[in-house]
Amino acid sequence: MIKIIKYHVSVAAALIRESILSRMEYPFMLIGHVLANCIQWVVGFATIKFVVDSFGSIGGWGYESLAFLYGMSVLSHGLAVVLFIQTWYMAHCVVEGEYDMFLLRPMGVLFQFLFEDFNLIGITDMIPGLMVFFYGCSKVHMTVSFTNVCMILFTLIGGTLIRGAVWIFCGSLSFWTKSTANFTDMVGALFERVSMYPLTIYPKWAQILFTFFLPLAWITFYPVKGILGMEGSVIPAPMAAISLAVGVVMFALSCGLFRIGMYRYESAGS
Amino acid sequence: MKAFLFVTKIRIQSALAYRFNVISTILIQCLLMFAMACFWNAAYGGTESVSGVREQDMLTYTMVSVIMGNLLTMGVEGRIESSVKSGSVALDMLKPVNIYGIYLAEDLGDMAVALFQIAVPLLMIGTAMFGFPAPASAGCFLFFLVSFSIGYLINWILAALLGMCAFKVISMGPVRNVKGFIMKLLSGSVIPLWFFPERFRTVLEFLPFVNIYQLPLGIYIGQYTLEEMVRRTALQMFWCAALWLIFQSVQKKAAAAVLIQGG
Amino acid sequence: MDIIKVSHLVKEYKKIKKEMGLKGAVKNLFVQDAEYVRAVDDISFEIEKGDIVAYIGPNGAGKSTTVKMLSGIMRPTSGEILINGISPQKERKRVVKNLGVVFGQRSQLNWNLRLGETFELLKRIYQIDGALYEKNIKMLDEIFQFREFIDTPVRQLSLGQRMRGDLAAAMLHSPEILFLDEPTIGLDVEAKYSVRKFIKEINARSKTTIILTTHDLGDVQELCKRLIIINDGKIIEDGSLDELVDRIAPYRQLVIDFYHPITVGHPKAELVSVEEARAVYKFRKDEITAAQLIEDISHTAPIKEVGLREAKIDDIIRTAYRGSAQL
Repeated sequence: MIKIIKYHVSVAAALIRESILSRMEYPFMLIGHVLANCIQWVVGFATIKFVVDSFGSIGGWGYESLAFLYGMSVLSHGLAVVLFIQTWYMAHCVVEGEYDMFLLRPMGVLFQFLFEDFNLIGITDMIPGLMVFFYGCSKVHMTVSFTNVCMILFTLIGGTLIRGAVWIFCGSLSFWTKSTANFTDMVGALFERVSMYPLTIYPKWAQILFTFFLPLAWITFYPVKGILGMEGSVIPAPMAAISLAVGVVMFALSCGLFRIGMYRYESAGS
Repeated sequence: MKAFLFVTKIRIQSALAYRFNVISTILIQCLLMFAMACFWNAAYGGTESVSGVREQDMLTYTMVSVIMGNLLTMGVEGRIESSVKSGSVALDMLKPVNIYGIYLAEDLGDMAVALFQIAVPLLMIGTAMFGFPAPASAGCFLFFLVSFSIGYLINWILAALLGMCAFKVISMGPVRNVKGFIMKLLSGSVIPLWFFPERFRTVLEFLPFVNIYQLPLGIYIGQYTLEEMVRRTALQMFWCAALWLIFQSVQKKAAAAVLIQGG
Repeated sequence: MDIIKVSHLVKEYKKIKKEMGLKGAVKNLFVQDAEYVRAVDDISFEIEKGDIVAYIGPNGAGKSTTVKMLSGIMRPTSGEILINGISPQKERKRVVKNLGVVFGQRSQLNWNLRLGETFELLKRIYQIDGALYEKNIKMLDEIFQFREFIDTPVRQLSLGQRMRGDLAAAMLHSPEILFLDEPTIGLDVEAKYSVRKFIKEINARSKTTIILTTHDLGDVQELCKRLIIINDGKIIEDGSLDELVDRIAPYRQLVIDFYHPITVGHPKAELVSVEEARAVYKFRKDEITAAQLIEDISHTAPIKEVGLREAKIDDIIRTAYRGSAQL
């Protein structure tokens, strides 16, 4: 068991090293991404501020809590982009037959694929994320305590896994559709709507949908609600822990779908 | 002209082949439309009007904005980038037709497809969910069409200009993203400028971006008086012409550069 | 022992019929007709350890499909493949550990990085221990001589250098079997020559079993003792190149220049033409050898010069392809 883990860690380290070196070959891209991401999230945050300034509150959430929610969302988005950006190109990989190379090596295909493109540049997403996050923390007077740190970590890991799972899920669809349709932008927009604004703005049925069937509300909404000590909990347990569990389960399910898809890939050929 | 029409027709045919893409796009766009509607609903929270805009108008604004977003998809940036990357750009320039004309024809073809495949279904579903997004008046609607067309051109030229950055940097992944984000905020496609603080608004109204979404949409929901509509549309035309001139000069420089380097 | 055993291998593809024109495009939105195409149709063969086998056929004959199934990338519709007694479909990881694959049209090297980085990664993936890795690198460098460009980013390598790098990468874990899919495609004469030399050397040094698909019959002539020809998904020839030549083109032509114009006949050879002092004979290889023929004729008239004409390999293979098409 330890041997297997050691083996995977050593391969992952080599893959990560390779992808960082590869990206360093294009320094212009790095600078471009830093700019792009900072602009994106600052711009996004500004819109929320303007709307709240005009309207007072959104879905019963005031400016301070919204800032914190936004910060958490950008952070988990950044993490997901660092770890899972290659899932955005899964459709392309299927159509172009790029999984062939992984199949020729004595290792799990998904593992090789996930680590093949470790996206150092994604860290640039974290810069504005941290800025907004700390701003939000100060606005809600977050105190540094063991519980709070744990809860925030759980939320971040859970949220990252949920995002990654949805991406893998969408990417795996191309095993069946054989189309290069890229849902990245659309899924991104959906994530934004559900994780940066409180779920309470949606009608009851949509809240149920995003809680149980397409559990995107666990990326930020419920755990942040728990951390901020807001009332109206659905389930009597620490929300952040449930968020983590939801993330793990969804990720496992998406890996399962990938495996089934891979079987189809091997049958179809290109 | 015949060549361009043919390109448009081919484009329509190939787009129709992707049935899966169409269905999923409609679904997700509906979700987005719904999410935005909920957002405004929650923001208004029963208030009659904020900053002089009624909730019903905001719903219309959102629906039409989402539909417009699907019509204003631009392939030209990607096309230029990939032809520079693959080196086929020199060949393209040798063709006996204006290559940018071909790109525009392709994008218009895509828009024609999107109109029937996405815009119409979205309009129907939106109507079923929130009621028909009626324009303020027939006159407003006509003005909207004019303004939308000019806005389309502005958007296209901006995309083409951005695409031509590829001649300089070859790979421009993040640049396109930056443009997307800036467009999203500054054009008022998600949140109209009248909710922005005074100072921001004044600055933004002098930039070309508002002419793509905000202006046609504002006209559609009857936000402007007739006099204002004429004035703003004139300004929009000015922007369109100015960008066109810039585009022409950049295009000539790019073509010259390609001929010297040989692609 | 047979290191590769393929029995009754079949691969069927589903092909969706698309209708033409704008009307067809609209119709395709709602209904799609599918038809099945057999890319590989009941193929069986065995390959012995240490052999170099050419797997050839016209475009679309099913070559790449077979190689993909052999290397575990693709699942057959039916039939069985055993590599070292293990099925690549059932135990992919175990089989590929012992497999090196090179696709001439696609590289497994990291485009942006130096060759050494890919080697380092492969070392970890295949769990090659340090001492063996050093030994293999040293041996492979003797063959491929990649040290001169090991620190250059792969994207800056020439096609020939890249192919050497790819071959070395595929051999790094000392696999017993090597699949080469068009290894000389697009290479210039010099690079082609050296790649062929490398392939021979690998085979000689480590007894590696090699299967190569190619369109270049020079590869076949230079490298392969055995030849499998496939067309329309079926094996149409399987044997040595010599056998094939003997069967499809059993005749040879002998050109003899005498000192004077003269007509000399021979019971086992047909006199095709006589032009002044030059005579051309056609004979069957299995009936008489060229040496015997020359000797017999020289008894009658003194010979100044001889030349032997053989059927061109390209023509022979073309005949083989066409022969199957006629059936």
